[in-house]
Amino acid sequence: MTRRTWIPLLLVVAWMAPAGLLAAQGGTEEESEPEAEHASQPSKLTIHGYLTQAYAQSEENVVLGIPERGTADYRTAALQIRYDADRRNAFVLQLDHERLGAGANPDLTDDVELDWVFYRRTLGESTSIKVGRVPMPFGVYNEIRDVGTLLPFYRPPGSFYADIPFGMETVDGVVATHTLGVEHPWSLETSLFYGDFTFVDPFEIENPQESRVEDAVGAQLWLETPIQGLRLGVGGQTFLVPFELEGQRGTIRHNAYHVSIDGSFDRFLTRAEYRTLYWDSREIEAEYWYVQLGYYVTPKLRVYVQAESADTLFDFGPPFGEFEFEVTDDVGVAVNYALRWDTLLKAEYHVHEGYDVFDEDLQMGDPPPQADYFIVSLSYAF
Amino acid sequence: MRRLTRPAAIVAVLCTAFAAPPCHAASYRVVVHADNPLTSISAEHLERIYLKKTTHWEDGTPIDPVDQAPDRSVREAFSQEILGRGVGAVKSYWQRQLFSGRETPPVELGSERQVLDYVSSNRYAVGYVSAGVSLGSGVKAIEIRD
Repeated sequence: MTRRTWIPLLLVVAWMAPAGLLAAQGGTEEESEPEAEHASQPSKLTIHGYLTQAYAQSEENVVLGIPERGTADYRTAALQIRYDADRRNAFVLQLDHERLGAGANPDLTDDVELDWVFYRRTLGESTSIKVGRVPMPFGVYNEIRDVGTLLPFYRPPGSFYADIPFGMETVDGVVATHTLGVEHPWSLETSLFYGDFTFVDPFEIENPQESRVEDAVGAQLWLETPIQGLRLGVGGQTFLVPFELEGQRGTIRHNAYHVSIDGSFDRFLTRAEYRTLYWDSREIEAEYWYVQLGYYVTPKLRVYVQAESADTLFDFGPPFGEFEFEVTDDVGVAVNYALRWDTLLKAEYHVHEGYDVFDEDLQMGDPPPQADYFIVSLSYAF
Repeated sequence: MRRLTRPAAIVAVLCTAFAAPPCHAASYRVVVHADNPLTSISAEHLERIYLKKTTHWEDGTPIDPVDQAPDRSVREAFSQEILGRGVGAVKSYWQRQLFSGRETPPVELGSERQVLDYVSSNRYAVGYVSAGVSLGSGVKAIEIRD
């Protein structure tokens, strides 16, 4: 463990200590807390899940696994098994299944993967700790990135969240969350995490690599405002990514910061996020942002528009110089129709260009290729 | 923001006109166990209970909120007036909580009788039933304050 990471870990412990002491002082009460008597005892074991099945087709080239011939091999699903031993202790296991159409390396995405497995302990009214493989608190969508009934589009903005299954979604370690001012119009939720995670790009067909990211430390803060539905967020992460180049191995520290606006109201939605990621050496800097606007025509019918962009700046010094790489530019529109509160039908169209498009005729120096596409999907959650 | 239905708005005006304490005119009543010392509860506190932002009574005992099935009209009325949003929006809230590994929603029961049975046998429970339903023994209604 490096100095950069034991210091933040010490801060986590110091931050958690008062909550722990508070819980301990009320420990007698807590330990002898009577189990509520129930006429119909709620089950301690609950099962939830979701499924989104899609059909997608691009107008040219392959983008995000979507080919010109179309594909129905486009799906996300999960099954969550949760055991609440009592009000303060829970065990959660979630299995995940995802298919990414053509262009995704099937060797890197098993049919069923372990998504999460963690123990959750609640301390007092406003503090919790999760230990295990835990959803990473990051931005508006990271923890719910595959829950189709909660997303305006098939997936959250790829520029910001990078559609890489099982990477940057969870952290193997610990997540601690504390909320200040729970009973006040303004409240601040703080989440801190520490651990490792696996990073894999399934769209890297020719040379797929699975990297084990280490010493990841991060924070996510959400400020809830007195305006119901509006919250403001800020966060960051730092982590070590291993590399191997010409027989030499090492690690590169990545640092990232982001800001978020999340407004979800009775008749409309507005969300925007901005993130910057850079190497310690500053040889690579990337910027990602998106804006989403939604209008609820009726309680069941909603329309959304979204613009997103991802750019990377390379600066390796002379003789290579500096150059910018337009990873993604995408503008999308979507219509959502809620058949029931738990069942959502979506149709979306995207105008997309970027070097994330697979164009077999692409030559060095060519502008970023274009790949407009549509997706229709049905989502269900229980 | 919480919206009042027209009948509720009229009653609210009347309550104010006659200098009565602030009150909620609603198609439902909030109920607790007969031994619960509570006689009234603020709408804001009730909202926090049903969104599990508050999980204990003032004496430190756990609160056990019970909901009704999503297709029941009394659920919609309670959801709109106390939680400030419709049942669909509340369901989305709970999906986000569940699928980010946080809290689980309140127990959902399919009938008024089941809610009353649940509350009458659970000292820590709080629920709601349609205004015209006979409460029976073991349960009492409490006032909702603004």
